[in-house]
Formats: sequence, C-alpha cells, structure tokens
Amino acid sequence: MTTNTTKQRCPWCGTDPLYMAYHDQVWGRPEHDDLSLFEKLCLDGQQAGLSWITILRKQDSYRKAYDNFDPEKIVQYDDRRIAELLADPGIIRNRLKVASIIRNARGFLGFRERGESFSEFLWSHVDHRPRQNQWQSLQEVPVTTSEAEAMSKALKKQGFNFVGPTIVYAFMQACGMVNDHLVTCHAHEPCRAMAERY
Amino acid sequence: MAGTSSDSSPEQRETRVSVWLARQPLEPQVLPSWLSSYEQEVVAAFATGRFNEFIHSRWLVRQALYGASGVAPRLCRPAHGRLVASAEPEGWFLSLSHSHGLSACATAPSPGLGVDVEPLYRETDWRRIVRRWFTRGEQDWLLSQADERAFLRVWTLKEAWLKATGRGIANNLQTLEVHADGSLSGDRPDQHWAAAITDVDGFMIAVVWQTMGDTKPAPPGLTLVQADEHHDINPAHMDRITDPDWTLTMIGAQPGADHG
Repeated sequence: MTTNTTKQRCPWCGTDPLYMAYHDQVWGRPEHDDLSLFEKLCLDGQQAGLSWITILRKQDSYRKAYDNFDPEKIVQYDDRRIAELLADPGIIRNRLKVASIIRNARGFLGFRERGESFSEFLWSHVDHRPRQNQWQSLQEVPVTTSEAEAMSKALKKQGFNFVGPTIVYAFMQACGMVNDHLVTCHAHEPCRAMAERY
Repeated sequence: MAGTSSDSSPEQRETRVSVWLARQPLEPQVLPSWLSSYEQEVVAAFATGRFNEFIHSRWLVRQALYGASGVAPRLCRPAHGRLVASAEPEGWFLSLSHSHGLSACATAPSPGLGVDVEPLYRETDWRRIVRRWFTRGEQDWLLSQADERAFLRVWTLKEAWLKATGRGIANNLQTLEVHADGSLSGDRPDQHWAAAITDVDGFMIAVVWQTMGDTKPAPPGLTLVQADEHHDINPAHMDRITDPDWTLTMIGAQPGADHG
C-alpha cells in the first residue's frame, strides 16, 4: 500500500495513513459487488454519531465479529451471539447498531430470494452511472441529495435501518455512485475515468 | 435419562408444566394449509431460513397443545402476536425456543413461563459474555472453574427467566443470579418461581415458571415429538421421557434486594 503524502487530496482525510489510503484506493471507486456493498452500507450505519475513521480502524474487527459480513450467518444470530457482540471491544457496542446489522442482513437476503441484485437496486437510483460533480471546496459538497433520500426510503421499505439520507449519501460517495472528490484532488480524474466505463 | 414411553393419544389434561422438543426437518417447507391467516401473513415476509423455522415452531406449538390438552392439533392455535398463550383451546400459556435445529415449546396452565434451549457445544467466547454481563458473584465462580457446561447452565437459566418474566436480555441479565452451589436468586421475591434444567440429546434445556404459591412444584414433563418432513397436522408420534433428569430449584430473593 503506497500513500504519497505530497499528493493533493480531499482535505477531509487529513494525514492519517489509514485514512489517506482509504481515500486514495477505496473512496469514490465504483463498487458493484453485492456483498461488498452490503458490508459498506452496514459500516456506514455504524458510523452514525461517530467519525468515519473510528469505524475504519475497526473494520478488521468488524469482519471478524460479524462472520465476514456473511448475511446467511448474520440472520441466524441469537441472544447469545448478540450478548457476545455487545461484549466485543473491537466493534461499536451499541444494542441498536448490533441489531441493525442483523436486520439489514434480512433485508439483503430478501433481494437474494426474490432473485434481485442488491447492486442493481442501489445503482438504479443513479441510473447506473456515477454522477460527476465538480466541487472546488468541501463547503460545496452536500450532506445529502434527493437521490440519496429516495434510496434511503427504498432501503427502509426493504426492512433496512440506520440508512437515513445522510448515511446513504456518505455510502453513495464511498461506493462511487457519485464522484465527490474535489477537482483539485488527484483521485478526481481516475474516478471520473472509471465512471466512463459504465 | 431413564427411558421413554410412547404416548400418541393423551387422554387427560396435563396440569403441570411440560416441555415438548422436536428436531427441525432439513427439507425446505411449503406453506402448510393449517396455518391461520394471521400466521400466513407473518410468514409471507420471511426469508427461507426463518420461514422453515417458523413453520416448524408453529407445528410444534400445535402438537404441544394437543399433548397438554388432548385437543386435536388441527384445532389448536396460538394467540396472535408474541407467542405466550393459546387461542384454541383457551387457557394455555406457552414459551418457545429454537436453537441449531431444535425447537422447544413449554406449556403451562398458568402464566409466567419461559424456556430456553442451547447446544452443549458451540464455539463462542463465553468468558467475554460472563465478564460483560454476569454478576460479580457469577464472574468469580464461573471464571475460576473455567467450565463451559457451567456457563451454559447459567446462560440458559437466565434466558428462561427473562422469557418467563417478559423481558429482553438488554440490561436484564443480572436480574437472576446463579450461585456456585446451584441456588438461584431473582428480582421477583414477592412471587414464587421455580427453575428446572436438564440436558437431552446434545442440548441444554432450562424452563422457569411461576408456581402460584406452590413451594414444592412437580418437575416438568419432557416429551420428544417426532416431526415428519411435511409437518403433518395429525397427532405426531410422541416419546415421553419417563424420568427426565431435571435439576429443580426454587428461585429465592437476591441478597440485599429491597423487599419494601
């Protein structure tokens, strides 16, 4: 993993090497894999009220605690498994947040059982093409959009929670459904180029 | 376990607490015609795994009600909502637990009933649960004994207690304390509660019930119910365990609890 500290980046990632690597290699790159999208949506929900770096630092612990985000396994969690999760210092030990991952796994399996693709469903909210923005500064970047609001509503209808419009917009940015890298950022152009392929 | 006796036509009404156990068939289930319209509505929203478990549980409830009351299973029906009482025949109280393919249904003629089943072997970090959720006293003896079976006894008793008293696990796991000598103390000192625990077929089974003043209650009945793959609604084959090895304990007051 290489992170060049002299590169021009979106200022939100600061100088933390983990955060910079995430910004350079993950954030804004279009993601189409059902399970990766499920994991990311769950993690974004865990962020609520905290900073993203807190969750990012715990990502490996999350994977370990939640069976690598295997929804088939997660839907079977019982009281004992939940008690164990709530005692795990590697994750956010909040009862509602733990319950939300289980709930979201049920929602995810709903798609699978109807023979629908979770990825197709999510991407349909941006007509399957990453939105290209041209922001000059962080102040211009919105916290949510009407597309995020529509996706939030649709997810709630499928039984998901911790998917408010702000969480969903952060998710859309991270999964590259929208290119919100500032135009001055070195990642803006590669993300735009990746979007051209769709 | 002393033995079993086949009993597929109960003739008299069961007046004590009973536990009915059935293994869930591995075959995928289709929507049975005997489900009530309410149950059909509930199950329609379920994914496959929960769907099969739901069908199995609802089938076992009907067989348990039949076993307890003598009313044919096709006429038996639980009340709507959380599964705590019967609608048909009236007057039965229920509790249900499901874990790793085994379902348990407890029946009693009076309210305040909870059952829990857990597999004897399961890969989890039980010490972490003890440290985070159990009382200081329980931590002391459980962590020094390092006996997973002992943990499991405590856990299933607590789960059954919380179901019997109508509460969830959140912040309530200390309302029943299990002592090293096996005695129990709960936060309901004004009422009489009993707990029974045993293991059958690789599972720990705990049941807690309110005895309505009886300080020497009879041990619960224990019956294995044979589930066929189609969940036929005719009376199932039942093996009554004639001498279940229950450890029966009355639940006392918590030390230092405020009785005023």
